[in-house]
Amino acid sequence: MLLLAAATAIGGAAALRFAWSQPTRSMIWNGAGWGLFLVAACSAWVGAGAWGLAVASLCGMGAALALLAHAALTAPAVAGAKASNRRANMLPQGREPLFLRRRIVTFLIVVFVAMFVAIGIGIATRAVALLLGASEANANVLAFFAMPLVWVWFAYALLMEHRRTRQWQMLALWAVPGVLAIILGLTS
Amino acid sequence: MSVVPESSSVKRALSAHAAIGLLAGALLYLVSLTGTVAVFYQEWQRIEQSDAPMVRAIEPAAVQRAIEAVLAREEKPTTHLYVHMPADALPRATVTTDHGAMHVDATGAIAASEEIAWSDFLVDLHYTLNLPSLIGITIVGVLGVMMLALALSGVIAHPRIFRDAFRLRARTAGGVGLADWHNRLSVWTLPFTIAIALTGALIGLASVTGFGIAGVGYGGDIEKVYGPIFGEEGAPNAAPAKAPNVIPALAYMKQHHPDATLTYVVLHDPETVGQHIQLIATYERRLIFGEYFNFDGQGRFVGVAGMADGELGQQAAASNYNLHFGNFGGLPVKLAYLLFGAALTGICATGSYIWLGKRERRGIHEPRLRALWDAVVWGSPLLLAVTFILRKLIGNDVSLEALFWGGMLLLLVLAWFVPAPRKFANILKYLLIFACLVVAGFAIAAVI
Repeated sequence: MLLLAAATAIGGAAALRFAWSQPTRSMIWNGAGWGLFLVAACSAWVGAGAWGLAVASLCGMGAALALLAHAALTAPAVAGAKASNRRANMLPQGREPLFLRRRIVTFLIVVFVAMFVAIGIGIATRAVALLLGASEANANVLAFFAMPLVWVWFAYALLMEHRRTRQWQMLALWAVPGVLAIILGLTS
Repeated sequence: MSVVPESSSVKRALSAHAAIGLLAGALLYLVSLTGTVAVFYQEWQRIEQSDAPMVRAIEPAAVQRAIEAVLAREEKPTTHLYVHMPADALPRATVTTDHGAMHVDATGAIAASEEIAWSDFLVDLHYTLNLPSLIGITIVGVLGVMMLALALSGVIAHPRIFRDAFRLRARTAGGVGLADWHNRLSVWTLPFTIAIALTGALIGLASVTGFGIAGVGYGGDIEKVYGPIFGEEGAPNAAPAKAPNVIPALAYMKQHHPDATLTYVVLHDPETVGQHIQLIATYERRLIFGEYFNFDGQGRFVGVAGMADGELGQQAAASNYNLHFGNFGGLPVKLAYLLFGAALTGICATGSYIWLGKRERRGIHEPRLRALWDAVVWGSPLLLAVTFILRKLIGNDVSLEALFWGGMLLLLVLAWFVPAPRKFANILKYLLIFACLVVAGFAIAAVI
């Protein structure tokens, strides 16, 4: 079963390589590529659980990198090709102001405030899990998983929102579950 | 309905991607680099101390002798004692206490002190950036979160990133090749990046989350947060007692769990009445780092923690470590982690170069910023290699942290003042190649 998983993972990468080399989008080859990845994931899980899934993923990624290496070796240099010059707005250009205070506040919000709110979400997740009858071990591990995942979302969402008020509103809203869990005594 | 994000979202995602990448870029690069090198932690130990006695297997009586011999040498009590059992990747038996570590031979006699300062420095650099452990591991955990946020914002910021996933114009100039390398490697290592970053964030941020849970749920006792997951410590009783007897425990494992491979024998509070024995054993084709088998001080079986077949949360928690460090499938998986880790390190390095290149194409030349980034990208691996060479030449007591961070500071200062940044980068590259050749020489000599 694991061999099937490895083979289909490699086949999935090859099918997508072929699909994406076509001049027009090929639904069949796209579907075949992603379908083979799905078959690989399912057969790996059936064959050897999480370990099998991890090994099959490495096979699929390895095949894709081999195809990339081939592209790197064979793609000709294109004269006059222009790379993207999209501005990232990370630093000012010319005489543009630096907005240092605003940047520092954004940093503090994304790193420190969001971290505490994410811990609150972790605590609330644990409380809800316990209320639903989860074991202590499962509830605690859920909290450990929830915290960084929620923080990732905060980091992304806060940086996507340039209005400061909306950032605070977002954090205040997401702080409610953690605060409620603590106030209502659902945490022990 | 289109799944392509709106152009304003794409622009904001690019800004978010650049903001995180530039602020955390140097540390992300360093953590990726050291993580990639540390995949071979066991092999580095063999190279670093090549004359340590090779032990393929050790009998229970020899383990007991080793424990008693090491405990007899201890001037102060130790709270824990660990016996590293011989493994294919590291055929050594090593006894570690709170105060030091000793290699023992196959008979259990003490053979030599463990001298793996560089290997430990490397892992410490990856785990904590050589900072005090709680602060350092939390910062590294934050870097895991930022890496995940970079992956998310990177995908949103590049609407064609999957459609172009095999388009690698490696030799095209003008920033095209560099951007292609960054984007293509990012796409195809995305599952690896997510796995590494998420497990890293979980490991690194477990302390702060644990303090939060402990504060509201366990009266501030953080051990009680981990107790349901990894098992509880026994009740301490400091009254003196004879050294624990691990022979029956090891015999129990051979009889009842012949399919499990022992990795560690752990003694809690040895030579006290409260002492107990814990054996850690792994199973083939499992992601978990091992199961804890608990025994009393006389070696009588008490129970298991449940990492292998207990609650789903326990199994998930126990799987984090091997998935992060790549030690769940022998050499093939380690080589895969080396390849993908190198790709991830390359992604971190190229990100800032792309940003600098874009600014240069818009007419904003910042040679100092470029030289500083060169110092990070080429200087970090150079200093890792140099510290290894100095460790081999000078000895185990050399201060590797001071050498590495002092060297890094020196390179950054040089980068700021250097009149010819391009030449500076080239010098670093040549020095890196030379240093790597010397390290390879040490490795070959150790194998021979």
